[in-house]
Amino acid sequence: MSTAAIVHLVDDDAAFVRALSRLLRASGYEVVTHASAAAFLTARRAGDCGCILLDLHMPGIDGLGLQRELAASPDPLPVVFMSGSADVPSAVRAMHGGADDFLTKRADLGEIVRAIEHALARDRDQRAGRERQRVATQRFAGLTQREREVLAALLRGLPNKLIAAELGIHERTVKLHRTGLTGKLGVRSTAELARLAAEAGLVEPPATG
Amino acid sequence: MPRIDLVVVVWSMVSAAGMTLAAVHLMAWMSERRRAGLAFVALSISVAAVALIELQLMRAPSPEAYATTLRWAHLVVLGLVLSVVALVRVLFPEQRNWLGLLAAGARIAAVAANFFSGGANLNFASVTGLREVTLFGSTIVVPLGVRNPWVVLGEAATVLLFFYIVDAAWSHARSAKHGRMRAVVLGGVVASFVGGAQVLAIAVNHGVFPIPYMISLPYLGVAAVMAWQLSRDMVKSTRLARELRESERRAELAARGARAGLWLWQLGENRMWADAIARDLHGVASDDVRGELEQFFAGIDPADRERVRALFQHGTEIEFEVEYGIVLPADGRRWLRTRGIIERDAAGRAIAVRGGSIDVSDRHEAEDRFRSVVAAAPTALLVIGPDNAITLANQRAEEMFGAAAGQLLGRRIATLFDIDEAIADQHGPAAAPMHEVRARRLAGDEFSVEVGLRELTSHGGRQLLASLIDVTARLEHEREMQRLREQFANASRLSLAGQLASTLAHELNQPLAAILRNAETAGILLEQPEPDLAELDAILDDIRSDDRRAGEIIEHMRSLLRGRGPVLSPVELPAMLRRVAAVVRHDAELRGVKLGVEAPGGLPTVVADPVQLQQVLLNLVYNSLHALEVVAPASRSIGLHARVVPDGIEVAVSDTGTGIEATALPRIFDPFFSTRADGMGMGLAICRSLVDAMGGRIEAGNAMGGGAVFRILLMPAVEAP
Repeated sequence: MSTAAIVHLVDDDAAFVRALSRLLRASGYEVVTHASAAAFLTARRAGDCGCILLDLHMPGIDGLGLQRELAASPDPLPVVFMSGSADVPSAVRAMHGGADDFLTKRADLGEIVRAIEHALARDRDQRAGRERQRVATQRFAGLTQREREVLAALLRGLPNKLIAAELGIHERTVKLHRTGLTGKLGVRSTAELARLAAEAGLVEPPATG
Repeated sequence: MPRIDLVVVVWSMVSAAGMTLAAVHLMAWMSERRRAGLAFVALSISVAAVALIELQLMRAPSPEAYATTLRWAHLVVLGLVLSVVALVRVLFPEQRNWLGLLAAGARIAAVAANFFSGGANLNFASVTGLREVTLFGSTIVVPLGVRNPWVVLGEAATVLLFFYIVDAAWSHARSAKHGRMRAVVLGGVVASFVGGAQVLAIAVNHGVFPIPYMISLPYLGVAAVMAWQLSRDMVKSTRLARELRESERRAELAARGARAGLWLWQLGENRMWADAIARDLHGVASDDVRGELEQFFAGIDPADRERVRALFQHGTEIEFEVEYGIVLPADGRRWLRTRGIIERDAAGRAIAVRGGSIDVSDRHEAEDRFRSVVAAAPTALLVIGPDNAITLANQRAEEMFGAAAGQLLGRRIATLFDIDEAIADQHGPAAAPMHEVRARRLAGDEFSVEVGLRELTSHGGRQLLASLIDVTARLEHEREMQRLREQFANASRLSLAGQLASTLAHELNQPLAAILRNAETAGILLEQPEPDLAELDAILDDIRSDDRRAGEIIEHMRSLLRGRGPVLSPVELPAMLRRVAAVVRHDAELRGVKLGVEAPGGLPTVVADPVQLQQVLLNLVYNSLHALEVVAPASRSIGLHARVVPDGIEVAVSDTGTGIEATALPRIFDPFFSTRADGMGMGLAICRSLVDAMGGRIEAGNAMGGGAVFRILLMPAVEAP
């Protein structure tokens, strides 16, 4: 249970929203309610953490539409769908769209809490990953153009001699750039360099992680 | 002043009168050649001769001369008697031949005795003397002598003649249709004269009175009476002959106008007379008016010949009409229609056939062409005669009814079609619209045909041409379509129900979920050491309002499902039942279910909503159709009945299914109660609510013989005063 996390409740049925928010608050969650998908998008602040309990059937942008928009944003929140009745095709589509869970509105409280906890855990994981990437990307940002070119060649596993031939520079100059970029990035080995590049999203992470 | 000899005058006059009659009738006979005429001439001459002989006898110079003259006189008497017999035969055709022959034979025997008995003559063995007597003031002689015993033969001959005449006249009077009195008078007069003459002769023979032979006088009377009768007959026959010629001429003119040929076949002589047209029509080449009979029959188509001959020869009808073919070497074939009259004699034997023949080849050819067209038609065709019997059927029609060639002919259409024979009469001369009827094959199975009727007029009277199209296959197709439509309607009804259910579920889930969540929250709050009572109060408020909301949703759905109220009007039940039967007939047939409608005439109209009542009845009938699916096809039937009962008018739908289980009966009209796996359980519930809304009542039960009965009690409509 995270005190910082907010559970967003998006549903057009005011009575149900009131009842569920009451229940979730009584269960210890911080709850923000939204009467429609548009209202949520307006009220949302970047960097919010938590999850969304989203009604599938709503006038205007419905649950699936909101899910698509969130998926396109840089910091999506995990989504748990709710529906009045279990509607298999909608559920399947929601799960394909990346929903964390699918609940009926009359699901057991335990089930709801489990789904919320799962969503919040995932939000934390996603948020940490995004933070690491941001830091790594910042480090690479200090490199010169030539250092980036040498780095790219290094990450492809080329020896200095071939890098020099490819870039049309002297082998000694290549060594100079390598020293410069490892110094700037604060790595001591090529293996460490590869891990950092993967975190920044420059290369696919190595299979061994 | 010379003395007038009256005897000479009278006898000469008698002789002259006889000769005159003879001359007149001889001339008549020359032109007419009638046998009676000739006999009469003989009679008249005989009378004249007898008168002259009598005169000579009265003036005989000697007994010897007297005897000789008398002897020869018997030849003349023979002529007299024979001519009388001949005339009687003509005047009274009913005479007895044998009696006439006997009379004539006796007279011939008498004449033989006259010449060969050895006496002077028949009357006297010998004439011994003459006695002078006075007659009419003149002196004459009468014979004296010995009577010849053979004279009895002559007298007997005359008696026979007398009886012959009397008998002939009497027979004629008895058998003749008219002129009976005349025959009696005629016969009486002739017989009296003959008898009188004989009495005189006997008197002379026996010398009773001194008078001479004077039989010429009574025989002149006989001749006069017969002459009168003969001339009457002659005038009459001349008139008849003239009339006959006139009518024959008219008939011939008419026959020529109609190109009719006239002919006469005399059966006795086996001779055929035919006019030129008749000869031409029958293909008889000879110019001889009296064409050969066999030539006449030879022209007739061999297939028809014996039939026609038998009809002509042995026909029992006085008039007949027959059609037959004539095979012509040059022109092929022609058809004649002949109307004939068979003439008969008094005994009823056919003696002649008179006929008129006309050429009906055109009509026959037209009929043949019509038959060919009918035979070649791609549809089944029937021709129905005036008595509603089939007169022509083509092969397709025979195949349609599963009949062998010719097997349909003569059948009444009511045995093949499920229609009132009067239907055929209802259609006017115009082509009747096609309509669909049930038909029965000879094997008994039924099928549906579309019938088109067209009137034909021919010499045989009004006929109907019926074209038939077997629509069973089309009906099958239509039924298949109907079934698909029903399934579709059923499916859409189900999907509508499903949609309603899902909407209802969704709509109800919202408030129910809110209530659940609120209750859970209340549970959590109450576990706290100091529950937030204000929050609990709000929660209970919310629960109440959500509950109200759920109630409103249900009420709204119910009002959507309820539909409109009834629109009441007077309804004619028989028409309603027939309409319902018409709607379900195809479905019933498809399932092999017999559908019966029973509604007595004069049933009062009832108060009902016609649309809703029809819905109710259809629903009940369809339920019965479903119920009959488990029953053997032979015993599937549904009845629609209407009748007056003490409380009102009852409409009942009954079936021969397995009935309603006793446990199901009390709940059969409950909503969502169904005995069918696929049933919604709404049909009968809706039926009951509709009937209730009309002010009626519906009950379910089982029939005595098994099967379900649904009875709807309705109120009779009150007639406006």
